[in-house]
Amino acid sequence: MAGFRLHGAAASLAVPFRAERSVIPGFGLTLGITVTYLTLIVLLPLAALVMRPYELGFSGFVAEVTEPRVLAALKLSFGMAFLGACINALFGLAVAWMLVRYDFWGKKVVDAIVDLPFALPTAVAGIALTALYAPNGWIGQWLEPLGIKVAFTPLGVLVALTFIGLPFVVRTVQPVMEDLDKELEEAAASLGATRLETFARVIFPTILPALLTGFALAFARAVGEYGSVIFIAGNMPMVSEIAPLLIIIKLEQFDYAGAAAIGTTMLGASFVLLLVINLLQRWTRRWAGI
Amino acid sequence: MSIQLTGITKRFGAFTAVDAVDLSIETGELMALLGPSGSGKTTLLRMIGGLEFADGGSLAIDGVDATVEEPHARGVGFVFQHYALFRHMTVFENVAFGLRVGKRKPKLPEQVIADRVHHLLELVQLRPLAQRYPNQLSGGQRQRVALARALATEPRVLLLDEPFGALDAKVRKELRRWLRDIHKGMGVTTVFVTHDQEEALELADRVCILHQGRIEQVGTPAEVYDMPASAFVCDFLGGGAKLPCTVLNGFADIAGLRVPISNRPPAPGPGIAYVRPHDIELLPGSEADAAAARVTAVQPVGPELRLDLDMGGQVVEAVLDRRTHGHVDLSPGTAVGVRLKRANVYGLGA
Repeated sequence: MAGFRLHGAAASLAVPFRAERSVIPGFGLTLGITVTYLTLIVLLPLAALVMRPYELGFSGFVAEVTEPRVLAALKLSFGMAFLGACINALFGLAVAWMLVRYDFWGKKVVDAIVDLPFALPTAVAGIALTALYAPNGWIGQWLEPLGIKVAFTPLGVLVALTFIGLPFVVRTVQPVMEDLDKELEEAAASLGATRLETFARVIFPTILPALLTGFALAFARAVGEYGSVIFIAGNMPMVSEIAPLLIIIKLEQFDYAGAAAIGTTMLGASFVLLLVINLLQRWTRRWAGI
Repeated sequence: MSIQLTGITKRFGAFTAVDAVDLSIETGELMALLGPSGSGKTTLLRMIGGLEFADGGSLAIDGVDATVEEPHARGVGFVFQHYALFRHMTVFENVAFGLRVGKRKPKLPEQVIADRVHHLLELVQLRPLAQRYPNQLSGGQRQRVALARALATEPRVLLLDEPFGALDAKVRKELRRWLRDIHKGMGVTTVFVTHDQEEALELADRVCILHQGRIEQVGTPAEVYDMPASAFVCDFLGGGAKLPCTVLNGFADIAGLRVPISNRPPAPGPGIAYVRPHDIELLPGSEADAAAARVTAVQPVGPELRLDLDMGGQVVEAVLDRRTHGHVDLSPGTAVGVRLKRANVYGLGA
């Protein structure tokens, strides 16, 4: 009933937007549903999150989020998410390239494997990664003598965040690459471009917007990732403790305002970063403009 | 520069797209490759351009074998059917592309590139649009950018794949005339592919008509139109009504009429005659050398009057001048006398 009334309100709100008659019906209905849905699912929880730290007051809020342990966690979360997204952009591009460009035995299987980080429960992924990279694990035992420790260090956090971000880059770049006109490369070749020049000057700029989208998605996902990281990270305060874990810790201590303060900070930082990436993307697509 | 194809063959799996084609294109010539879809004309063009490699035979450009040469080393400029412009680059950068890339040492100075690009944009009348992106251009403008881009590297041979295929009739006509002017001005050997017979006949110095991967006829537009070498060529170039006939010595017997044969006459015997709409004359009454027919449809098209005539069960199309026949009653059902001025005739075996 409440939903219905909300919809009615939204529909009457929509009237001013409907100055021009359109042949496509249902503008009011779809706008109403969109607004209602977004309000219930996204806006209300976020509003609650932003409202909560108010009880700390402004100085209390600043004190909460500038605490060294919180800063270290935020730095780790954002730094490693960014690094992981960079790695994924590079290798995701390579994977997408291979899946689109070449036919090989088992291609379908490889294509399906790309989606596994989506499907696997994150805790399972975390435990598997930990088992692999622990000093006595399959991979860890070979890295240990080289002085490389992965599990229970920031490097472990990076490994987990890279793992979960890969499908985002591959799945956004792949369709754009598939749509790439073969004639473009032929045109470049007939104009005397080398293979490398054709990639750098023709193919890469065309798929760059999609690559940035994939990068942004992988990054956003990694910033908030919890399940797969906490097993491999070791969660040492100031070293390998991620911000989402810190929020859980605060919640367990019934410090709801403190948890919300960290959450709000992450929200703000993510928003700014995504905005920057979006602007960058718009710049790379300036040719598509009006 | 001249192009010499000898026994060029290309297969895609079991399908033979180009079947042992011999063709020589002279220096400075404007040659049309004409044929229906699937005739192998685009594949042939792509092999000349080095975008496809022959399975058999050889290709020489200016006397030098180029069968396996890379596209750019051939000195060939290619204009693609859908233009293949780099959409993330401005018009200027698209045209400059060929001047910036490649193993050119030392790199061309920026001023030289700018001068050359501006000269080309002047030539294609797009100078004011240099900073636009391809998305912001009309089809005809894109086509001209593609041409300027292909000309930037000063190719010895210019290849165009269905250059006017995606444009509307008016733009197409303008660009045709304009391409011929550019060809005349630069004297670059040019080969273009088309399925539009009117375009080929209007634009080319010589036309090469392809069918199922083989050449049917090569000749000047007048030659191929007046003396079609095969029934296919005649049909494809707008052969007109297809009528059964009997070939006699020097003329054909079509529905009892003695009709002069305009192409090389086949051996006497049963045959097929093609009579073009313009070669059909209407006579007021029933005269000795006219066949009886009845008008079934009439349609004025611009200066012409197009008629469908029923000639003893055969439907024949005729075109008349509207000004001279405007006053004659030719409404459907009218009985008229028909005279056939000439016909292209082929033996049944051919």
